[in-house]
Amino acid sequence: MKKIVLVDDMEISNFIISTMIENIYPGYVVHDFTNPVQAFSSLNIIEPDAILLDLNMPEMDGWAFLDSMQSRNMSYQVHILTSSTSELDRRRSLTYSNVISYQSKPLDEKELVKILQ
Amino acid sequence: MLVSENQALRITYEAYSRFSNSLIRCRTFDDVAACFKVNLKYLFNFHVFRASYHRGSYYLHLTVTSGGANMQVQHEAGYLAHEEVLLEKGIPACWKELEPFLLPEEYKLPEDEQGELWGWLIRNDEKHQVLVSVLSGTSKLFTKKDITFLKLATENLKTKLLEICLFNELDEKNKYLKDALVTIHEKNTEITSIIEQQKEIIASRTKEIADKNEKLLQISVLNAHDVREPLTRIMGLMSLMEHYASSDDIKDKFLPKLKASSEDLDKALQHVISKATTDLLKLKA
Repeated sequence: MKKIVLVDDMEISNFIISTMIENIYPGYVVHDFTNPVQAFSSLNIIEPDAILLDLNMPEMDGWAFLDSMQSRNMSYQVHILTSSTSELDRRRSLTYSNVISYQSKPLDEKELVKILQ
Repeated sequence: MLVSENQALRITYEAYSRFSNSLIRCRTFDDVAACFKVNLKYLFNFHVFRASYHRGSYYLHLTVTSGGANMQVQHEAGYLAHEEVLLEKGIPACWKELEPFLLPEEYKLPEDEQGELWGWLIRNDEKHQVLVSVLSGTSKLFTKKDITFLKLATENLKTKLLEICLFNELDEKNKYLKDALVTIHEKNTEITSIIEQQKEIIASRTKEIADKNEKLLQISVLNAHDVREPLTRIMGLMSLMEHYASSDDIKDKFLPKLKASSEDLDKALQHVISKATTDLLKLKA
């Protein structure tokens, strides 16, 4: 049983992913946030096994989120989940040691299985 | 008699030689007048010697008297009456009746001088001819024997006047060319500076366009991401519906989300279109 955190300012995106997880791994606990600041402040309480993080968000974007984690020495595993298909974004994200993979939306079920196993 | 005649001839030849040498060195019309003033009286006797030469728009009249010599340079023909006759008929003449010609002041002689006016039109062709006339009298007797030296002197004069005219024309043309050269240099400088200016303008415009292109490219990439975001939602919802949803779920959960995402997609596209239009208008401005 794993704890998963979803961070995406679009509620529908979180709905899609959480529904998929619910169907594949009914026992997993999913915490979804549309507010990245709230998500960040909840990390140490939840202690997630994996974070699915969007990049393009208002207030605090994915990069700021990653930087904050780095500065607090948080090493929770992060999977970037973004509608951007930019190679530049992909390379940049992989410079963070706790970023495990970079996924372009829409996320394939097989890919989701792979990253949450 | 023959001996003294030969002697006279020899002296005249010497005088002619001095005259020729002096004439060769002349560079201006005034030089020519001065040469005639000094030398002509040793070649033959005369009260008044006059030679008229014409080239282009210039008419030259050389008048030599015992008082001096004078070269008139003018644009009007200014021929005397007897010269008009010579021009018209083209044959040598010797007039004893001088009254009808209404000659100028320096031609006036005392009664007892019995003035004679001799005249010739010496021509190679239409463009190169000299009218020459001599006023003689009993104290300054001109005879047929003098004609040889008169013609020699006149031929020399004609050649020299042509030479000076050509020099003058050359000078004028050179001056004109120099002016033209100055103008060309000025224009060249002007053109060079215009080209430099154009280069600068082109460089700055090129940079401007490159900057704008880059900006547009960035905007188009950003826009594409904005458009893609609601689209990925729609795609995600669709695949969820295929695999898991019941028809009740579709109606209650998925349709409103599909609708909202479609509307977001439409908004994003409209935003892209209006942004691109604004950018295009800015580029044209």
